[in-house]
Amino acid sequence: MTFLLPQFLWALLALAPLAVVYLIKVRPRRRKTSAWFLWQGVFQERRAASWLQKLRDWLSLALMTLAFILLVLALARPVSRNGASAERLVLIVDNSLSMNAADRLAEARRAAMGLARSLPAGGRASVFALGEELVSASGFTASRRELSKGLDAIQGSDAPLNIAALDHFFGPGDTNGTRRVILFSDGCFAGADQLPEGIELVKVGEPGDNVGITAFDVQRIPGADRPLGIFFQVFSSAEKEMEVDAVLTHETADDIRRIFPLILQPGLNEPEILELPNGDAGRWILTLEIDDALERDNVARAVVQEASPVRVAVRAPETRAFWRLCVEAFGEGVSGLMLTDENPALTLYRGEVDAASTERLAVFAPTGASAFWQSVSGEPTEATARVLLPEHPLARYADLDGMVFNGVRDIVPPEQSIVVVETDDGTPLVYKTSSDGSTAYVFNFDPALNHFFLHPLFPVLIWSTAAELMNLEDAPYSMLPAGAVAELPAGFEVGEVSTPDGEVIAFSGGRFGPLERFGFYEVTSGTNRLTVACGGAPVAESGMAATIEVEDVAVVTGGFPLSDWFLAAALLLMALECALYHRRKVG
Amino acid sequence: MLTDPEFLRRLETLFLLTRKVLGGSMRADRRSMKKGSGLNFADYAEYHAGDDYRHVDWNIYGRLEALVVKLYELEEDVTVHFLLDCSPSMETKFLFARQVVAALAYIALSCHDKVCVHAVADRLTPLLPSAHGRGKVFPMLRALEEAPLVGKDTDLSACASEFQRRVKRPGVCVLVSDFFAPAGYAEAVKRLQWGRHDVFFIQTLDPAEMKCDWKGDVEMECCETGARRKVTITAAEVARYAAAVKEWNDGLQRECARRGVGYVQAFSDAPFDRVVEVILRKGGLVA
Repeated sequence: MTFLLPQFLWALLALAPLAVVYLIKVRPRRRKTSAWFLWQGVFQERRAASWLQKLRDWLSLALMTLAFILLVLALARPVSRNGASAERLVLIVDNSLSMNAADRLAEARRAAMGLARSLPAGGRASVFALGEELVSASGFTASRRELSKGLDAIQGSDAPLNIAALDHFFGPGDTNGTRRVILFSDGCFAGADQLPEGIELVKVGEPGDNVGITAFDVQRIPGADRPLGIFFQVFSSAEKEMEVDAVLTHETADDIRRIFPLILQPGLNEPEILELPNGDAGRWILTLEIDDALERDNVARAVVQEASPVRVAVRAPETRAFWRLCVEAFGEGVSGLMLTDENPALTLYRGEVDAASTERLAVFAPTGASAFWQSVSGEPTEATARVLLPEHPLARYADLDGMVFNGVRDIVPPEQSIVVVETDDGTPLVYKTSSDGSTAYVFNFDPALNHFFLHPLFPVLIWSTAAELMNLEDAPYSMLPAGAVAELPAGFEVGEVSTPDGEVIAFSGGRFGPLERFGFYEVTSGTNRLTVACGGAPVAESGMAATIEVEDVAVVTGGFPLSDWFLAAALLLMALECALYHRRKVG
Repeated sequence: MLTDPEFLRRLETLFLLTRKVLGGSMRADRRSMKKGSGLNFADYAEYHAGDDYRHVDWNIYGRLEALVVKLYELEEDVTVHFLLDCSPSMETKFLFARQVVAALAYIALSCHDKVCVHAVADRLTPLLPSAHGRGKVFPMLRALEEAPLVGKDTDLSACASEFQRRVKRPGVCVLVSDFFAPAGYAEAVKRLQWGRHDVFFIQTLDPAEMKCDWKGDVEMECCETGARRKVTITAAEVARYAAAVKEWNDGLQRECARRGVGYVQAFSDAPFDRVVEVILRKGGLVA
């Protein structure tokens, strides 16, 4: 037998002073009598029991000492190390989206607590919540109270259950095979039939008809009337066809922009794609008007960001017209380009570079001296390109491999430069370099030669350069699914997020999440503000009717824990001593 | 305090009350069986040579020609002996007992009787030698006031024997005690009566002694011998003790009645003058 809280055993040192106090306390009161001889006659008949009377104080002291020892042992939480007493349970409660349906989470909590209560003597358990991540709610403990607190602390999440999170228990690093892992879930999650071996599933909840929005997207699309493209898809777990109205609102529930009457077939329905002219930027909310098993997946949210094109300046006077065409080719959309000389974020050069350039620049046909190359020399020649980094953003959308470029000169890039494309003979053709806080892409060819201005890859290359330098591709999606991590664009490295529940949390590293709740997240970083929408229920979570078969799970109970037995024995002894004490004090 | 003015006033009031109760003058007091030169006619006797001619009843001689002399009752003072229990068992009622003795002694002195006070414990000790007249009131009160609790036991029999040896002349003997004497009281009654004394017992009791209020474990200590015993007192013991006390007191009362000894039981929570009044009304002790 060992003890979970052995520090309580120090309390046994108090036995000696307590015994002295006890003996002083039970010492009889002294009473004088003038009728001593009469009392002698009274007690003469009871001489037979006098030996018991003499021993009674010591018997009481022994009882109290024993009760105290048992009480201390109970507080020290004795644990038997053999047999069922050593059982350890890992109780995992599914708090994913589908568990928000009628009392499923509460039922799972009750089932887990019931199992915890029936733990054998010395048995310990821990509690985890499983949604997108595995979150510990209570460490291994024999305390039912701690376990109950841990279970009560588990709140429902809108994220889907991520079965991969269970690898924590059955991964290569797991060496403890004595525990039992029990998952309390409705079984409505992707991969329910592929649970790791060794996990016992306790199924909760009853199947129910449910309709949910599995996908929703609102994007700005090209067009004179600033149209919005709207995409959504609905899943129905009902066995029959049903009619539902989908209501599209902007910003608030009262600002209804469109109502779509839907005829839903059982299962995943065909996606709905439509165009909304004169669509405003901001929050868009799609609501299915239906009363079903799971309410949270009847609403989906998306955000259309305000258009904010990148300001691009061109320093190539003789070929400016071509440059303008290239820039304005991507002039629309959230991540478009806008040609301007005022406060440019990106400057395009042809030839020499100004001393006071912007932080981000692209230099074509470099000449003269610059911090962005060590030397450039030789006559312009023609060379064939060879892409060294095919996954680089500049090469992702423009297949430069094998293309012939004119105006290639011998150039020596600065150290630490990243060469993306080079010529057959190893001359750097496109590289990225930095100097004094400025970042530049150097294109060692002249687009004015060989009519590269007119090649469709030229505007693509310009946009790719702008997108890579300005992080345009990191712009948030109009909607992120629950459980995803929100990657924020440049300018949002550190700040605060106000969640749909009103909680304000800090973030850093330009990301936050995973997103636990559906709704709008307001991101603030300095003066920059951004809204991130979270919504869209996976089909497995919206299904609400798991078909996975489970077996009954039970813990072999060994009765009360040892500490409870000790406590009961201590109380019994104290009750006995109280009776004796009462007898001594009131006769 | 027995000598303070308030107590003396109460004694005087008690004395006046005594006169009212008994009637007439308190003077002289106690008639004797002896014939002598008193004032009250007792009988006639045949004249013998040498008798005092002044006592010849000449009227009888004129009518019957027989010489007879008148006899008169002899008037003599008696000694009232107070035997005050001064053993430690009297601690709670000692003041009350001394007040009773003081009151009775005051009345006796006022009636021109001799008063003698003895302390009773494990042996007899004189507290006040024979005193006579009202002038001895203060010495008597001081002697009572200064009387200590003495001895390690209450031995009435031994004290009665000692009293018998010391006092040969019959008188009135008033024993004031709680009579909680392990050796009993019967022998004491016998010995006092053998001395031809008029014996009177006043049993002073503390009401708390009549019953037991203690419960549970108690270390009982004898207030006289200091003996101790740890006991557990339950309702049964309480009942048995009450019965034992009653039996003891009833036995005393029966013994007194059987032997013609005056007996009064007085509780210390009662006013002492009320107790004295009861004693006076019962008679036989004073006047």
